[in-house]
Amino acid sequence: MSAGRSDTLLSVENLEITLGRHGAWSPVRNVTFDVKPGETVGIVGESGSGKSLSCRSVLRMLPPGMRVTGGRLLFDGRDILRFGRGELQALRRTGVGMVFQDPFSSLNPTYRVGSQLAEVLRISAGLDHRAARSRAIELLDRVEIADPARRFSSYPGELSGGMRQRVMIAMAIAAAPRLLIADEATTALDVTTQAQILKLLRGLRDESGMAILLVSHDIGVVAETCERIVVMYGGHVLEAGPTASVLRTPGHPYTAALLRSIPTIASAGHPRRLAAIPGQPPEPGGNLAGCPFAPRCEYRQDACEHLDMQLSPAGRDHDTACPFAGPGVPPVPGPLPTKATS
Amino acid sequence: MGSGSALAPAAGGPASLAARLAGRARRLTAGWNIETRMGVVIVGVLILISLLAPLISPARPDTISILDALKGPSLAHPFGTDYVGRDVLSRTLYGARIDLLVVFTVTYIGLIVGGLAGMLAGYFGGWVDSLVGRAADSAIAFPFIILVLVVITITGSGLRGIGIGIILVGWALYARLARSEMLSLREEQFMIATRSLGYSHWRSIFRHALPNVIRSSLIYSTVDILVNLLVIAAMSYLGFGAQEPSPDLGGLIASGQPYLLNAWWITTLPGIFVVLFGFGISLIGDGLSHGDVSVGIR
Amino acid sequence: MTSGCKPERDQAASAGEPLVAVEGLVKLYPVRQSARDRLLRVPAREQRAVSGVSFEVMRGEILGLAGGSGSGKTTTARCLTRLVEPDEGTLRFDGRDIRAARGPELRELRRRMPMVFQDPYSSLNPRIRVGAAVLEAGRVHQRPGSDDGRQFVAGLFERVQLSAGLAGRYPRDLSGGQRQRVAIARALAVGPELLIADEAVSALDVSIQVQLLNLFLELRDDLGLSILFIAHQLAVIAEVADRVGIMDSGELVEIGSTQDVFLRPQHSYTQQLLAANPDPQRALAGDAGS
Repeated sequence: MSAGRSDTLLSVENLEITLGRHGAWSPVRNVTFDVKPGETVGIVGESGSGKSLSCRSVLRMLPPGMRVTGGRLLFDGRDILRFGRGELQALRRTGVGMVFQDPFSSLNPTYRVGSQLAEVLRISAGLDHRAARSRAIELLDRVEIADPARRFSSYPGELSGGMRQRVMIAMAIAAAPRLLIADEATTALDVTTQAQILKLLRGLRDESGMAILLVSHDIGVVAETCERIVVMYGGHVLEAGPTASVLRTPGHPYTAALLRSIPTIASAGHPRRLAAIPGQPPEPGGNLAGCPFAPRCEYRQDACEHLDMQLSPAGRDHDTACPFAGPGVPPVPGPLPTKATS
Repeated sequence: MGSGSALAPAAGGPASLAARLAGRARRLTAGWNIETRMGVVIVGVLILISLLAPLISPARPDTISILDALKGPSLAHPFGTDYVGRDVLSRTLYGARIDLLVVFTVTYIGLIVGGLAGMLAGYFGGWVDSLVGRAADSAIAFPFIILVLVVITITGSGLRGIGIGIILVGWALYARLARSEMLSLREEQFMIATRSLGYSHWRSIFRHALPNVIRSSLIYSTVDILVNLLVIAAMSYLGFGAQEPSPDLGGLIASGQPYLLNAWWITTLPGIFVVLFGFGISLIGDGLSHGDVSVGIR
Repeated sequence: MTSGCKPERDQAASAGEPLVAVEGLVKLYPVRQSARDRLLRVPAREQRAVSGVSFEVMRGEILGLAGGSGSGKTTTARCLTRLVEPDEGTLRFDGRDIRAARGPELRELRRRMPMVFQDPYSSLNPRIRVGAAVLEAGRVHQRPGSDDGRQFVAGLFERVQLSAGLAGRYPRDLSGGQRQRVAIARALAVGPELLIADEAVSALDVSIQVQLLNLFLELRDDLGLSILFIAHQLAVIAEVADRVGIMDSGELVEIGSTQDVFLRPQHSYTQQLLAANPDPQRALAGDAGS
């Protein structure tokens, strides 16, 4: 029960999440990653990758019917899955804050924004009404909402999407959590608003030393904000490591293919057929053995269908689940046209 | 139409037809919960025996035999006889048949007329909507029993008058339902797509909107049938319904009332029929509304 | 507010009459008044969803329309097909006046510029099989070849790279990417000259988005289709569009060839938009995580 100070803040080890009885289907098969104190880690994946579920399992907030059926989740060295109600509540209140994708459905439209925020403060920090109110206004200011005292009395419907998301962030950081999980927090926002929110998150992190786990389907978002990146696909982690390293020299065919295929502004005026990845992401319900990317992979071999999907360094400074990675496989993505070469 | 049969087994013979129907039935009922199934069974049985009344009644419903009057349940007369010796079971079955035929007819006429009016009102808006809206509001606001009495003074007593009264009010409920469904459906992208592809209004309404709009009306009609049945029974009980010698359930219940103490069976059996029917319909309505839980995982 | 830069005079990239010519398009939305204002008869302010927009689409070109939410790009597209009635402006398709068209004439115009919508989960009628939906589009307009249902649908499915066996399925059995292909097939079935793609790939997974972008490029190259491609992600537009227009708060602030606009943006809003777009390459150059 001691607050064991370990080197790692959050450690997810071989996580498996299953829907239905008798192992009907596991949307998360074998996921391992960690977050150190003060770090910003990004999880990138398409639909069906299991990234959202993995994060929700940290707070044990899985949808009905889904359970963790394997692996460990350690927060500060302690096993979250074994937490009693009191410890879990403490975790949700002061250990980890979470921001979701759709701010409108996370805020109760019939209550004013300020009172929802103040409620969080009263519960998690035990403040009285007056203290909670003034702290709430401080928080609204910290998340860069203009005229916070007036906005305290606004209803969610009166705020723009970006502002609502800022309120959600305020609620999530109210109790100064050590880890903030942002699950597609900017996906529903305008590009310019998204940029502002990401900047806000970086600022908050720099100020308070809070760690951030940023989940997104957009590699660009993760690349700009995170020091380390975890690439997920079909319920597995395919690759993980320092962002710059993973993006410059990807160690997994999926990552390489993704980088080759995503649209970039730099291609403006250089018409090219994008190197699309054939096929589609795995359908829910299938429990494929081996590497989930195999059906679409250009380097596919027979052994891929029986792969153990363990991460190993494979000669680069980050980890990959593809044992065939080596010199030339996958090929380093060629230089894309840059502004200089237009 | 087009390549819609791409997945069906190649057509060939009654055996494959039966297999396909069975498959369809299984898929259709797959999602049904226990309530819906029980309800369907109960209602189905009642409807079946009522419709088959001419075939399965032990006797003719209007055969008078004073000698056998007021006899209790026996082998010859499983539910006894009434005050002029007519077989209660037969009368009940025939009476139920009349009621069911009438109630299904008037409910679905109301659904068709009201549904149509509501869809057009919701789709076009403007004066069509105002017109339908006002008519519907008037129909609902009007006290029902008085309306029926007025109709009856014109048409004379009998189920026809009650039926017309029910339709005059019932359509309005379906109109409201269809209208609000259409209002939200109109904004769905596939509906907007029909306009952007240059389809005519009629195609948009009848080919595309209708199959989606009809669903909630059909669900509502299961409850409406029950309500209408009770209304018919009540009005008949009061004497406005089908007259002797072929009364319906309400009339039968009324006819046995004077004999409640010494010949309870005359009233009770028709009464049980009505109660069971209502019970079955409620189960179906309940079951259908509890169903439809889709688990979506993104 | 603005950098004082007028939209570049829209230079036609290729010779010939434009397929679509929009001039001075305005669409107003009345702003809800409080009861007090209404009582005091304060004149209702109107919101300009689209404010004086002018552009052209040439035959065989892909024109991108970019901007944030609320910029008016979708409203502009809907005005073009009169799904929404414009308040002011001239709109021409192949020289014909779009605003004056009625009934059958309007339907015929719409046939020539169908739309593909954003949400693959609601743009197909859930109760109609996908093959039937595509065939219906062809039959309604009596397209050549639509009598032979099976062949007609198979041909279209092939063009959008869908297996013909899927024709008998309902939309719910298909993935998002497959549904969008069906929507495109349905639009192609009417024999269009212009395709209006309203955020058509925005709701799809990245790896699928790219497949569909390639499809749009093919349609332009093989069929000579013009495409009005609306999107909020600039990178997507950069990959497919020949020319692009940037919209902000109802105004078209900049328009020109994709290369010019993206690599040498003139207007401050365009520059702002480009800076805000997340770009892995730029992030790498600037060192990730900073």
